[in-house]
Amino acid sequence: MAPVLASTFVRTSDPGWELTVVRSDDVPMRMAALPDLGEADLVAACLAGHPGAFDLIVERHRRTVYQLCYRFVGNHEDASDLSQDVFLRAFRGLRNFKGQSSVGTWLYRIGVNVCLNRVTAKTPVNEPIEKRQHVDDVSESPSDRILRGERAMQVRAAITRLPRKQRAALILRMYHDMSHQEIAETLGSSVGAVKANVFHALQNLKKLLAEGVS
Amino acid sequence: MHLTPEELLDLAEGTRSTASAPHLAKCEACRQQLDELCDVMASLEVDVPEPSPLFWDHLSARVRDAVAADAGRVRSWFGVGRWSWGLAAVMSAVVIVVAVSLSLRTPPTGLAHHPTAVEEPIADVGSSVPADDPSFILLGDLAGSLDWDSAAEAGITMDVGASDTVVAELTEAERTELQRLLRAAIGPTGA
Repeated sequence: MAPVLASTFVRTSDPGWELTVVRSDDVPMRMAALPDLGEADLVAACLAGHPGAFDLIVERHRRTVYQLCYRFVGNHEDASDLSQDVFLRAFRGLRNFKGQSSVGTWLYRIGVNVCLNRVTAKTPVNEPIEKRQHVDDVSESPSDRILRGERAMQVRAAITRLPRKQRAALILRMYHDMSHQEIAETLGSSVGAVKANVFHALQNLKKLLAEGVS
Repeated sequence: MHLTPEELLDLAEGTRSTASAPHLAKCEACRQQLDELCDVMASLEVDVPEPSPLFWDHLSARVRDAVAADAGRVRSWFGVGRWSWGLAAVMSAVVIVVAVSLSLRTPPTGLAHHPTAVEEPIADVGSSVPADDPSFILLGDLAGSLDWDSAAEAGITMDVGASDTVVAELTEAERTELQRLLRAAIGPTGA
């Protein structure tokens, strides 16, 4: 006979109702420690309302999501807002996650959509150069460091000026190591279109960098 | 025939060998284009600036707050759906029962008997209801634990002027019937 699990939740304040959930299951529910869970189990834990499960998903993917958003918008404030939006949408859509791709790829897809929607409505704002210099490399001379920072700033600014699809394809290909096929699935286009977008993005970048865009 | 963008990209990314593109050896334009692509790709090796170490926990906290607020909104919406709307339906049914029982209990009186009924001060309808009326007690019990915000959320409160609008939209026959019901309800107390 199947074991019956029962839980009763009593709300003491008005209106004072009781809710009893009875669950019949052949397998007793056993929950491993959250950090030990794989991605699919972590999503299941989120859906089961396990506190902290979604926090862990955020913790595991926040850096890549932030970097993706930063590549799109070129500044910390917008990247931070977009990252929050990506995770909020992911939380809302957890039930639609079927596990056919990894959580990371799924988040990329959400991230690209969030960023593409945002970049159409907003002109990119790039940060002043002094805000971008967090990494200190002691092997570099100060002048080299400044030049490298200036060059990096130009490249990031140029990327934010690319047309949307070219920008998305280039960022996913160059900075997130996604295959053309994965990018095509993420963007809902064909491999040929992705390659064309990457190619034209590179050509446009060459022009923008030659013009010294900032 | 020159190399296509797709072929050039594959060569630049290294997913295709130059040996598989003999055209390159005899076409200066394609070679130059490939070199430029490789140069641009090399220049893209730029990291995203690392934010403050405190940022990551701050981002997690922001997401946690946003998710909690969002979940709260959804829960409260479902709460309205499951409890308040049900309560509103029950209360509406009770109000109808009370109204019908009141109109049946007080026999209709003609205008001839109370020619000035409408001009008289409005009587307290509650005072005409017996204290032990079970339907009224039920209504009181149900409404007693319902605060104004919950009632407003459940849509059982009325906007200012809503009753005027409803009366204005009645047909002549409906208005006459409303007058009759009002007089029937107010008449005995006011008399």
